[in-house]
Amino acid sequence: MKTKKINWIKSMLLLFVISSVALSCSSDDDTTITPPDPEPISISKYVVGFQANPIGQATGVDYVLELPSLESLTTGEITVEGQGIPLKGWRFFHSVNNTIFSSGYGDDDKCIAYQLDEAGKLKEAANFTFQSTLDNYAAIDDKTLLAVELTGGVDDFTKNIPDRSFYVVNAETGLLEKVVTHAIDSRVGEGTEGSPAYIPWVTGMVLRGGKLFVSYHKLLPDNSFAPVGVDKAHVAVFKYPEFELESLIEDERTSFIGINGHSTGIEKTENGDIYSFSSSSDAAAITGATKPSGILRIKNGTTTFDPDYFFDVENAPNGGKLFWMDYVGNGKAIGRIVMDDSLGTWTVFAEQGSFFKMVVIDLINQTVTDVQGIPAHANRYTSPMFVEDGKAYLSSRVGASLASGGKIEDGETHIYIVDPETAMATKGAKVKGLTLKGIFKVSN
Amino acid sequence: MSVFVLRRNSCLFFLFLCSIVCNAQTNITGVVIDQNSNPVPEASIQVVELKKKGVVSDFEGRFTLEIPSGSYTLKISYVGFKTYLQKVDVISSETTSLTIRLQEDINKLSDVIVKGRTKAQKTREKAFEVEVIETKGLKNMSVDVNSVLMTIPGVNIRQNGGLGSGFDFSLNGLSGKQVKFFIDGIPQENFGSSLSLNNFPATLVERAEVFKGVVPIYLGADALGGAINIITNQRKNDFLDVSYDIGSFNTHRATLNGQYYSDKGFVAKVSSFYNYSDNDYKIDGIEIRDELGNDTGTIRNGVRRFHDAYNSQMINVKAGIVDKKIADQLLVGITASANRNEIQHPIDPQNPFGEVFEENNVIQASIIYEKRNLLKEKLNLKLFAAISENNDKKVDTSSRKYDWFGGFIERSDQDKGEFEFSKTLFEFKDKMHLLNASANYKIGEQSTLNFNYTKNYLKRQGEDPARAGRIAFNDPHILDKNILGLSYDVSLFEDSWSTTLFTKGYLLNSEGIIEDVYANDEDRYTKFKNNFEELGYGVASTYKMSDRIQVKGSFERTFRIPEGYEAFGDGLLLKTNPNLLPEESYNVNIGFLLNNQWDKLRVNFDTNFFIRDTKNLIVLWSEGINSRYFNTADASSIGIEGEIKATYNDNFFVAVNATYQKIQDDVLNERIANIPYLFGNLRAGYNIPNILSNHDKMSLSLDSYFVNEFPFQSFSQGAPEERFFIPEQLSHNIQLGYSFKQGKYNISVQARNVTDAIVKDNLDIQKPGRAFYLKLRYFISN
Repeated sequence: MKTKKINWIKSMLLLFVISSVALSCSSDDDTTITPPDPEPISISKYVVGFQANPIGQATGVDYVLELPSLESLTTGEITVEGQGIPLKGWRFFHSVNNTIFSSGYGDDDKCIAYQLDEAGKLKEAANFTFQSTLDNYAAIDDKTLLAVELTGGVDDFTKNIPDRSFYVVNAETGLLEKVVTHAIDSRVGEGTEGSPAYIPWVTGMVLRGGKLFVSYHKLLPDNSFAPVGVDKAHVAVFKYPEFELESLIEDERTSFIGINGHSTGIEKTENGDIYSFSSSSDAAAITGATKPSGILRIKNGTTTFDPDYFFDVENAPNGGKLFWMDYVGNGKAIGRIVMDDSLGTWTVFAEQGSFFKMVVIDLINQTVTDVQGIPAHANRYTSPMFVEDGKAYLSSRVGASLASGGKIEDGETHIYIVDPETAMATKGAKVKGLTLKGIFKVSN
Repeated sequence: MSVFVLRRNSCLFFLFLCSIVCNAQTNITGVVIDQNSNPVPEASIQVVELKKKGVVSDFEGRFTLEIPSGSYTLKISYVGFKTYLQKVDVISSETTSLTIRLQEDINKLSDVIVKGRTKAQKTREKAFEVEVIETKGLKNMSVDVNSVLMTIPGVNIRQNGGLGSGFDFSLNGLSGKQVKFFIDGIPQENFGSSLSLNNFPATLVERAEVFKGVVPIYLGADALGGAINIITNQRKNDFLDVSYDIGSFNTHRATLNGQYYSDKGFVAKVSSFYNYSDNDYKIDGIEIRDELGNDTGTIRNGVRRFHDAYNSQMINVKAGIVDKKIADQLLVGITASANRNEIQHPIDPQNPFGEVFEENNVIQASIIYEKRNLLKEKLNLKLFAAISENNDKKVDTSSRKYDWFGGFIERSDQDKGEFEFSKTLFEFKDKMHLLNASANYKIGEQSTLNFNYTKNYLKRQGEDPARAGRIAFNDPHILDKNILGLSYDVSLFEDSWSTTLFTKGYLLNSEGIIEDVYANDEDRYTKFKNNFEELGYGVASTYKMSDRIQVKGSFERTFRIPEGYEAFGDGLLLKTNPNLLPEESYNVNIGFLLNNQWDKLRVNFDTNFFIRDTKNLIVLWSEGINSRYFNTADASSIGIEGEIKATYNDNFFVAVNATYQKIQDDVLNERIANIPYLFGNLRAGYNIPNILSNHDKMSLSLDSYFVNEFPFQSFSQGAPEERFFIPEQLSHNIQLGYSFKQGKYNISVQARNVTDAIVKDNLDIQKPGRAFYLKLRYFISN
């Protein structure tokens, strides 16, 4: 009750500040709110994919929620009380330029595109349905969302593995333009224990100079999600937009690239180099890996792993097994390192638990620095991290896991703002829900 | 194909019906009434001289006996009334008519539990908060048990479509596995969908008892939120009851129910049904998409469902001896049931399926033993034992993606199913043992001690020939539930105050093998064992202030023990949580019953205030691709429900009831959405006797259902204009029935959803529009 009142006072104050700024500026330039404005000004907003707390025995509802300013991320509370657009089922959130996509997993087979309308209000622009589940996503350029359907097993391990389906989505209209099917890796095993069949499971997609790089896991095609031949890193290189396979490259220095459900397995830096991370973590479902967790590089202009570059994150000082990594800029990335790898397969994907420490990874100098100001936490981050002015904005939940007797009401989620230069995190807005699945900035 | 078979079957059915010719004997007809000239239904009329001759009076108190000419004594009895003896001379070829006026026996009025005869009215007056629906007036209607239970305050049934479609039964805010079902006191919890309330015809049911929150010990189960007990034929005479009905959407239903008592104490009973429907009604709001799946913005209405056919059948045969020295009843029985249910769409109706279906079949062998009046007429014993097998199969082997307009595309991935990520022929086989033993011992005139033991043993194993590798329940799970109940019933102050104190012991052993596909051989299999021991208790008490006012209060601490898969997972992506606790609830009811009579107008008012305080609710949490159950939620519900019923001259009645409930998540202090919170119904009927001939009757009735709009996800979260709501539901059904020759021939027509209203539930699932049914029923008894 009290917080509601404070929020109300806050928003009134904010309204007052905005309107007084607008009024005081009106004499200086053309950004007035008077009608004869010939060109509408561009409005920018922050949008979050918000997963609410589960009420009763239902699962937590996902909302897409627009926020007025950066301050909404750094101070106060983010809540869907009386605001936000509710969505159906558990969802992924991704963005390309000024379009936010939310697509259902399991319960809903719709991908909805949201954009700001002329008045600056977030509105559904278009939607399309897919056949099963879109499991991985990438904004491969400013105009294209590439999504790939991966789920599905076979009834017979000696059979051909069916092709994966790539969905090419126009990010300006939000409409699906074409579906391309491709095996990705058709070197099917013989279906025996020594040479098992597998399906390629995409964990990252990067477009660079007409070539599409796709990192993937190899999983047993029986819906068990069990890995096959985990001790190699795999990337497929396609000619794009033709989707012609050029080469399959692999590296034996580390294990599978990326994490199931994350889309940042491989990423491109400012100079066109591509970096990949490999987890080797049992708890993160890279089960049975014997190679260390680490980072590989594909140098700009090449289509092979750089034989001179391998960053052994696992054995580096402050290192360990990566659960997630995302590039910030200036040769630095933010990572989450699994603190206890013995918890059991998939356990660190839970919404609450003291699973990870946060680190800054210097890709060039090959160092790992612990981030100060953020306790051990959980978060299964489905969209690439939000970066503004060189700082990363991350939702993290602090609290003991349910499996270790923790209670969901004792967990707390905040946005943490991480400065990669100082490796310091500041606690931002409190999230009155389970997690933020994505933070975005869009303009109309 | 199955339609064709059905039509052939129904012809046979009619042939069978027509072939029954009865030898008419001399008739005695009569009516049993009380001091106020109200009819006494279900009174027993026995011919003292002819040992096996007896009938039960019908809803209007009427009865007919066919006996050879001679002099006889009729013994007429009913709980709460003094037994009445009537001498009668029967002369050949003449019909004797009698009016029997029973005198109330004040001392016996509350003696229900002792007698163990849970007749409808008496059950209602029990200390438990219980609703009893007698289906007598509904036997001629084309309805299943669910439609009957819908009329009870506090009950809401959310059905996903037409005949046979899945449903969620909720009682005072608790639902699903928290509410348990019984048939004749035997728990049905592990049976599949072929023996379920959505296909059990009301014609086979004598009455249904709904216990709200507080459940007597004779219903042995871990019922967290209450129990429904369906009582089938309890008659003690020969009869044959055959019905057939036909209706919209190619719906056909038939029932055959009958029994025979021989003079030597041999009895044979049969009870069976057959249901079929195409369920091809029209629905609205289908989005039109282009070839790729992009929304075109066009919506189409009046689209016909094309893959929703349902059929189910059941037969139950019992035979044995009655009224012998060794047993009052010793019967062996076999029940077989099966169904096939096509699935039109998942929870979102926008994406239709064209080939997925589910099948279930159950076979059960059982034995019933009953011996009453042992140890100087103080001890009654009853025993039920059964072994059964339940098979549940899901067939999803098509890679076609259908649209609503008869078209489909072949998926690029031919290993995908319509419903599942991969094609499946998943089947689980359950082997079950069921044991129910009860005893009651009369301690004195005023008190009884009751004992009940129920054992429910289940072994479940899954298989799937369409899949390589792991499948769910590959390693069998064993669930062994034992529920012990002890109660003490006492009646004081000339039976105006009666109380039941009870306690229940819940003992559960479960066993499973968990396979870790990632582990080495020696660690690959882990055997899990779980034991739960919980003690529940409760009290139910009622006080009759006068003949017009009765107060009731009841309380129970009750449990729902986790099912095997909840604790152990399914051996696939659902993981184990051996620390899972039972769901636990404190349930309270406070009720008032008022009734008054002004000349021919009788008014009954019944209200109940309820509280449910539930802890450790079991909630499914995801862990990446896996999921696991945890006890993360506490919830409470408070509510009030009430019904007022007015009857005039026993010919006209009108009844209205309403329920309001508020269900709260106590951890987050948020109101729980997606449960109706305000609903009710109205029923009215008019009976006109003796229209065209003596002993005929015309009846006209109306029933209306109302569910207020309620939010799908949250009462408070999300912008109000963006929230999803399940819109208000209001529908009306009307029935016209005609019975003649004392109920031997019955014909009825029914119009459901007469206003053709668009009724949607479970967010977007539309229920059938206007539909018509015609039912014919033939009933004969001695």
